[in-house]
Amino acid sequence: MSSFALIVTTSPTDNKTYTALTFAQQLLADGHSIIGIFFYQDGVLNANQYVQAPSDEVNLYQAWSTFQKQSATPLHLCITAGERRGLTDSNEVAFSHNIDDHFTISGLGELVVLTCKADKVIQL
Amino acid sequence: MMSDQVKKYAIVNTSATFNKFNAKEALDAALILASYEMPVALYFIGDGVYQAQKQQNAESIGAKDFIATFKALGFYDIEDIYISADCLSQRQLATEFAFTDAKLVSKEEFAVRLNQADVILTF
Amino acid sequence: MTILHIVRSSAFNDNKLELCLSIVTEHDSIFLIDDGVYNIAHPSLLKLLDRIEVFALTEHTNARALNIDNKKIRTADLSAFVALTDNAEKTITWQ
Repeated sequence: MSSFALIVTTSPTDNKTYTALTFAQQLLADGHSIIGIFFYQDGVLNANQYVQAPSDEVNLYQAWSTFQKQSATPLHLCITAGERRGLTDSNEVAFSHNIDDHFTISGLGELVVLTCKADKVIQL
Repeated sequence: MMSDQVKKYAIVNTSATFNKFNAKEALDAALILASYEMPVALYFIGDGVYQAQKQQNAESIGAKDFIATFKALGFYDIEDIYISADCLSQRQLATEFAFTDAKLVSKEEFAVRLNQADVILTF
Repeated sequence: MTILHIVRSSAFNDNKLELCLSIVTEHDSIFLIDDGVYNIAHPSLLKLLDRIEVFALTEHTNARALNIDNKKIRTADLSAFVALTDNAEKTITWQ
C-alpha cells in the first residue's frame, strides 16, 4: 500500500473534478493512504462555500467537504491562487470569509511538502 | 516545514504565455520548489514554446511581465531548461530565448530528460 | 513500466494526445480518462497500439456511450486505474 498526494487543478463546474474525487475515494477504498490533496489553479474554486447546485445535481464543493469529514484527508488550498479567484479568509468589513472549513488554507510550500513526502503524486 | 527528502521535479509547460494563467502559476510553483532546494527542471513543449520567446511585451496587453523572471532563474538554481526543437520549428519560431541558457532538444532527448524526474507536473 | 501517461482530453479537439505520443516510450503506458477516452478512435493513437499499452477507463467510456471493439485497447475500472498509478514509477497528466 502506498501513500499518495493528489493535485486538483479543475473547477467545480468541470466533470474532471468529479474524476479526481472518485479517484481519491477509490484510493482509500483500496487501502492506500492520501497524505493530502492540494487544490491549485482553478481547483481552488472547489473550496468556495457559496457554490450552489440544483438539488438533483452533484455539488462538488459539498462532495469534497463530505469526503474530508468522512476520511479526515487534508484538503489544502493555495491561498494565492484562491485570492485571485475571489476566495478569501479575510474578516474585514468589505469581505466575507467564503472558504469552507473543511479546507486548510495553505501556500505552495505545502505542495512541496506533500509531493515530496508521498510515495506517489497524481495530478488530476 | 522543510521536508527531509529531495525529489527531482519537472514542470512541463504546454500552454502559450497568456493562455489562462497556466504559465504564471507554473512559474510560481517552480520558484517555490526551488526555494525549498528541490532540483527543478523546466520543459517547454507544444504551445509552451511560445513562453520561451525573447522580447514578448506582456504590459501591452495588460499582463504582468513574469517572463522577465526567466532571466533570473539562475539565481533560483533553475538551470535545466529544455525546449522542444520540433515544436519550435513547427511554429516557425526563432531560437532567441528569454533565458540565458535553454537547451533545444529533440523529442527523443526531451523524453529521456523528462524521465529523470521523480515528479512531473503539467501546466 | 516507467511512466503512466494520463490523457484527459480528446485529440479531435486539442493536441495533448499528440504531445503525449511525441515523447511516449515503449516502456510507458497510456491511460485514457475523461474526454481522453474519445481517443480510442483517433488515428494517431490507433497506429501506436502495437507498440504501446493503452487503457481506457470503463466508467468514462460507458458514460460517453463508447464501445471498445479494438482488442488492443484494454478496459480498466477505477480500481484498476488506481493500481496502475501505484505500479507506475511516476505519472504525467495531459489535460
